[in-house]
Amino acid sequence: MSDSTEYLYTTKKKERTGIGTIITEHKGQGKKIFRLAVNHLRKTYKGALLGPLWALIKPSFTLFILWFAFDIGIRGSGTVAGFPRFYFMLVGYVPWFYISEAILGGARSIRSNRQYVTRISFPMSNIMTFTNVASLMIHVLLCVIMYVVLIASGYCPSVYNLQFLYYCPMMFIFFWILSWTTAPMSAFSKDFENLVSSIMTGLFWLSGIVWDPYSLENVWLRRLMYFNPINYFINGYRKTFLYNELAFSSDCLTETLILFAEMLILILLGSHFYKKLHKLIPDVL
Amino acid sequence: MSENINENTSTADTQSIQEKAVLTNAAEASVSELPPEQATEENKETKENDKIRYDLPPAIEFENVTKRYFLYGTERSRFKAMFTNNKGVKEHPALDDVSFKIYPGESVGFIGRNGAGKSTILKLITGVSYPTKGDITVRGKVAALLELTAGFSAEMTGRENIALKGLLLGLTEDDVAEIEDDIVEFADLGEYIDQPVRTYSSGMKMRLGFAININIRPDILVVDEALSVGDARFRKKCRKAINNLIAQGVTVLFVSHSADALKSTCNRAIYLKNGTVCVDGTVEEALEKYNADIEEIKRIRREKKEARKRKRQKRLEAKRKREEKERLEREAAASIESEQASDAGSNEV
Repeated sequence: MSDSTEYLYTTKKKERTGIGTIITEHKGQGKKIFRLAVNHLRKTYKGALLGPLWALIKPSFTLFILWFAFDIGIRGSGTVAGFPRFYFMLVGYVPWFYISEAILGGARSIRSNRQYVTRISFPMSNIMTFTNVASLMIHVLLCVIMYVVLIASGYCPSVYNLQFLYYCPMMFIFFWILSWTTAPMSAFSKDFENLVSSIMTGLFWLSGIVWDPYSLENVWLRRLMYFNPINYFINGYRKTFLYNELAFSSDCLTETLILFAEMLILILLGSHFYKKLHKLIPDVL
Repeated sequence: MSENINENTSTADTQSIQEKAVLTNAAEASVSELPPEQATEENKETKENDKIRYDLPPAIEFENVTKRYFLYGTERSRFKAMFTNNKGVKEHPALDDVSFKIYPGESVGFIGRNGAGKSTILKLITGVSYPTKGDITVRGKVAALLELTAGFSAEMTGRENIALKGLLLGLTEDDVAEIEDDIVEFADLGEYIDQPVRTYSSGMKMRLGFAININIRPDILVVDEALSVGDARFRKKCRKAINNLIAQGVTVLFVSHSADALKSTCNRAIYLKNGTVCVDGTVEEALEKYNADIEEIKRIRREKKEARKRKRQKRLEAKRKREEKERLEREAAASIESEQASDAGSNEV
C-alpha cells in the first residue's frame, strides 16, 4: 500500500499527439516487447517440433528452389546487372520476405492480438512493435544464412557489408512506422486488411525483386521507381552484399531524400490515425 | 477438451472428475457463497470503518464520466467512420455523467440490472476502455478477477506465463521472481506448471489466472460474482484469499446480484440505473431501491402481459364474431342462391 503512488492511472493527462502517445507507451517496455516477440514466434509455429525454426526453413526452401531452377535448371537464365540471376534474386528475396511479413503481419497485428486490447490494459502501439521485432529476428537469421551462401560463392565478405547496419534498421523503422497506420485501420475495418493483403502480389512485381528497376531504359520510369521504398531497401541490400557500392553515392541522393520524405508523411499519418483510433478500437474489436 | 486432459492426469486431478458434478452445480454461485463463512469474522472487520483511509487521496475517482459506444450499422459505415470522425453514427449511451470517489480500504458493491453500466465501469477502471467525457483516476495496483485467462499464451508453460502475465500487469522481473513461488503453490497444478498452457483444462487455466491475480499484492481488487474457479476445494481457497486481502485493507469493488454477499462484504454500495448513479450509500439503501425498482419493473411487465392477454382475448372474440357473421352471410347467400336456382329451375320447367 505504501508504494501505491507508483501505480497511477489517470485520464487527466494533457492530450498528447499520436506520436507522443506512442513514445510514452514504449518507455521502459523493452524487455516486455522482446519477450512478447519471442512469444509471438512460438505462437505462430505452435505445436511444431522445430518450432520457430520453420520461419527459417520455409524461406530457405524457397531460396533452394530458386537456386535449383535458375542456377541448375535454366542454365541460360543469364545475368542481371552483371550478376548470375540466382544471386541477384537471393539478395532481393531475403529482404522481401521481411518486407511482406512486416506489411502483412503489421497490418494484422492488432486484430490477431485482440486479447491484449479488449481484455487487459496494454499499450496498443507495443503490439505493432513486438510483431515487427519478431519478423526482424527471423530476418536477421535469414541474413546470416544468405551471408554464408554469398561467402561460399565468393561475393562476400567485403567492407561494404557493414552497410547492413544502416539498411536493416532503416527498413525496420520504415515498416514499423507504416504499421502505425495500417494496424489500427485494419483493426477497425476488415476491408482495410483485405485491401493490404490484396496489393501484396502487385507490390512484389512492382518492386525489383526478380528484375532490376535501376536498369530501366526510360529515364522517367526509372525515376518513378524511386518512389517505391521497397526498391530502395532491396537495392540497398544489393549494394551491400553484391555490388559493393556505397550507400550514399551521389546518384542516389534523390532516392534517399524521397525515402525520408515518405517516412515523414507516414509518421504524420500514423500519428493522426493512432490518436484517432486507439481509444476507439477496444470498443469495436 | 477438459475431458481429454482429465484422462491424462495422474493423481492430483482425478478427484476433480468426481467433483465435477459439484463444480458445475455450484459454479454460478461461487462468490455468493461467501456469507456463511464470512459472516462471523468478516462482518466485524469490514463494517468497522477504521481501516478506510479518508485522509489519503481516493483510490478511484470518477469525475463526470460519460461513456458512449458507437454502433455501426454496416461494415461500410464503419469504414467511412475512420475518415469522417464518426459523424452521424448511432451512439449507445452506457454511462452518463457518473461521479464517485472510492477511498483506500473501502469495499464497494455495484448493483444494477444487465446493461446498467457495471461492466463498463469495471472496464474503465482496469484501463481497457476509455471514457468519452470526464476523467478517471486510479491510484494503486489493480487486480481484476474478471478476465482470469486474459493474456495467457497457449504455447508457453505455466511458469513462463506467470512471468509474461506479470510483465503485462506492470510488474518488474524482480517482483515476478519474488511472487512466483507463491503463485505456483497457490495454483497447485503439480507437474503441469511446466507444461504448455494449451494442455490445461479450462479449470486449470482459471486456477493459474486466479493465483497470479491474487498474488500480485494488489491495492485494488475487482471481483465479479460470475467468477467460477475450479473445484469446490479450490473455490474455498479463493474465498479465503479474497477475504485475507479484504482484511488487509485492500480496496474492493464487488459486482453482485446477491444481497447476502453484498451485505457481508461491502460497507457501501452504488446502484446503477441506466448508466447513472441512482443510489450511492449503504448497502441496505441501495438494495432497497434496487428491489423496489425490480418490483416496479416486474409489475409493469405483468401489467403489460395482462394487457396483451386481454387484447388477445378481445381479438379472438372479434375473430369469432367475424367468422360467425361471415358464416351467417354465407348461409344467407347460399339460401338465396338455392332459391334463385330453384326459381331458375322452375322457370325452365
